[in-house]
Amino acid sequence: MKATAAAFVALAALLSAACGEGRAIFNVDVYSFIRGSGNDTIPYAIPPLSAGTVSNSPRQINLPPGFGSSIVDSVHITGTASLVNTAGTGTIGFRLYLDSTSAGTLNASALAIDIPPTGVSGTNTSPLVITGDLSAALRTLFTASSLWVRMAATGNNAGATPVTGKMALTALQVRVVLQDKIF
Amino acid sequence: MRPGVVALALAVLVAAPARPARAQFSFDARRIGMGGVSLTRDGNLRRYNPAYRAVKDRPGSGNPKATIPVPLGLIQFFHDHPINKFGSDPLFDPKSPTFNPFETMNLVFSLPIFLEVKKAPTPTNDVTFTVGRNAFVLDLGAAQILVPEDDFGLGGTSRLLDVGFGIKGFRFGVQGFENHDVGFLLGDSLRAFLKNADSARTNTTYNVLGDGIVQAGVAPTLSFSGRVTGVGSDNQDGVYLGVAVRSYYGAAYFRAVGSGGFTTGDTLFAGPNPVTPQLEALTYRDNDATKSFGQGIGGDVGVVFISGPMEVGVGANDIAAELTWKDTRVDSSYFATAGDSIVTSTVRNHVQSKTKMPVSYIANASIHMGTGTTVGGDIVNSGRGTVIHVGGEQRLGMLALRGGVSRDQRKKMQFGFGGGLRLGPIGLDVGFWTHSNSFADKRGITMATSISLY
Repeated sequence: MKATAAAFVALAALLSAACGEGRAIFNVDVYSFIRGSGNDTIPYAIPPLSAGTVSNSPRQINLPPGFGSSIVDSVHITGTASLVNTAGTGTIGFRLYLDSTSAGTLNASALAIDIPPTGVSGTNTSPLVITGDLSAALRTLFTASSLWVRMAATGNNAGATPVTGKMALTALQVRVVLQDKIF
Repeated sequence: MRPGVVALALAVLVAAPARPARAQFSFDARRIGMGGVSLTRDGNLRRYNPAYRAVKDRPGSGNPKATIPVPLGLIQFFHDHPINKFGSDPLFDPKSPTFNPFETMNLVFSLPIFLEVKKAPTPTNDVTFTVGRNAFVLDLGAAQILVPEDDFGLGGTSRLLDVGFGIKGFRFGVQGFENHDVGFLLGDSLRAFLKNADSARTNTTYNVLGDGIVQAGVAPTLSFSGRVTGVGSDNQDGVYLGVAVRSYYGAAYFRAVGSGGFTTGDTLFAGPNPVTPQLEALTYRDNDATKSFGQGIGGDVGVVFISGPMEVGVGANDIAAELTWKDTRVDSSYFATAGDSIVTSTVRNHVQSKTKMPVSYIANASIHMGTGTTVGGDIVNSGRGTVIHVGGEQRLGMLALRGGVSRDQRKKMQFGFGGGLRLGPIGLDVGFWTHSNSFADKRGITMATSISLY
């Protein structure tokens, strides 16, 4: 990915640099990179009267290179997921962790997005809307050439039967706005 | 490395159209104040119209013996960029986070000889990238106008020296000539990607087509310039004719034709799929200038008509100048993916090839009114694009007021105005000249100052 992105970004940089102090806006369709890889689905099984968190493996995402000197103005994340519940009644939430290392995504400080739990019940599919802005500390991750992403489903089961199902990501986009200093 | 190659290859193409139209066409504040037109019989007129060599300066026209620019812009520049700090100056230090290669390139193209009294506002423009596994869209917004749709580049012809002798209108001399021309054209895919925000595609080549030539040599020239009507009268009215026949002896030439860019892989953004550099070029060069010259015949022609206060002239240079190079080597170069290197081989040697000198021309007209008013204009094509200047001067004793307009090679209108004060053999002139960035209508203003010695 790097070489392709680098070629196009170098080309784009020449033009964008020529037209003044504009901003570079990246709309990255993260979902298109992980669709079908297994990382877009998180199965959950929450025992009765308990709470828990399950996540997929951290995944590395390469970013267009050369933005090391840039200032990231904002990072906005939007997406949707389907909560495909197969049994039980409870609540399921969504968390997104970002860090510069794989292990770092396990830290609480890597929490980027925390979507409040949505109720699930029986055999049913519920939509989950993902949206949020990153803190200033996490925005700096987007000046590097890559970062690690971990998605987690948080669940709570107050009932007497297990809550089972899966959280299937259906869209995830990241919008990065930065003051470009590509060279 | 690869993006560096791409950036280098495309830097010129992006810089050329983006270059602001502030390149100074003259160091003479009088011309700058009149929109670039010259109302005296010097400079471009005698360069491009051989008939003007037979026309004496108009009495009282104010032709200075010398014009010395007053480089106030350099003072400002070195105040902003001290010489002893060049090493850490962001303008020259690529490692600086605020380094912008376009500012540095612009400095080379537009030396800050004169003072910028009002800088052209730099337009801001957001650039949006949309990235997906198999999608890459670049929306340059207003900057799309910077992307050239047609051939673009730079070029021109110079007379490096001119020595000789003459008698009764005839002159024999030897001129040195140099011609260079570099042209680029965006490939269809690249143009659609940049100009129309078309998504990048897999297995597609994004490239720039290029054609460049440089040739130089000497040209013995036999010319005639003289007055063909009104001979013997005590005024300058009449028709003047100038012709020159030139035998070109090219000492060296080099031409390259080809394309360069990169080709995308099976998937745009997944897996180890680096883009593949693409380079194909044919180069032509003369083998040995000591054994054979590139030879050809060409010429200049010009005519001037003067009637009282009015004069009109037309001249053209290097007409039908085609050089034949009898001993040429043709090399082929291409990027070999197997060795990840550029492979060059000779495809033909000791063959004949031909080059042409571009025809350059000028058409001018002016009228000198008895009230101290002079107005005029000219159309000049020095090999790449036509430039139009129209301007005038009003003399009021020691003072002169000037104004003019110009349409540059990018078809943008620019304006000039200024004035002068002449004290005996010395004149001080000031001229203001507008300039603008490529896709903004707001203009900046440069102030030119010069001293003329009469």
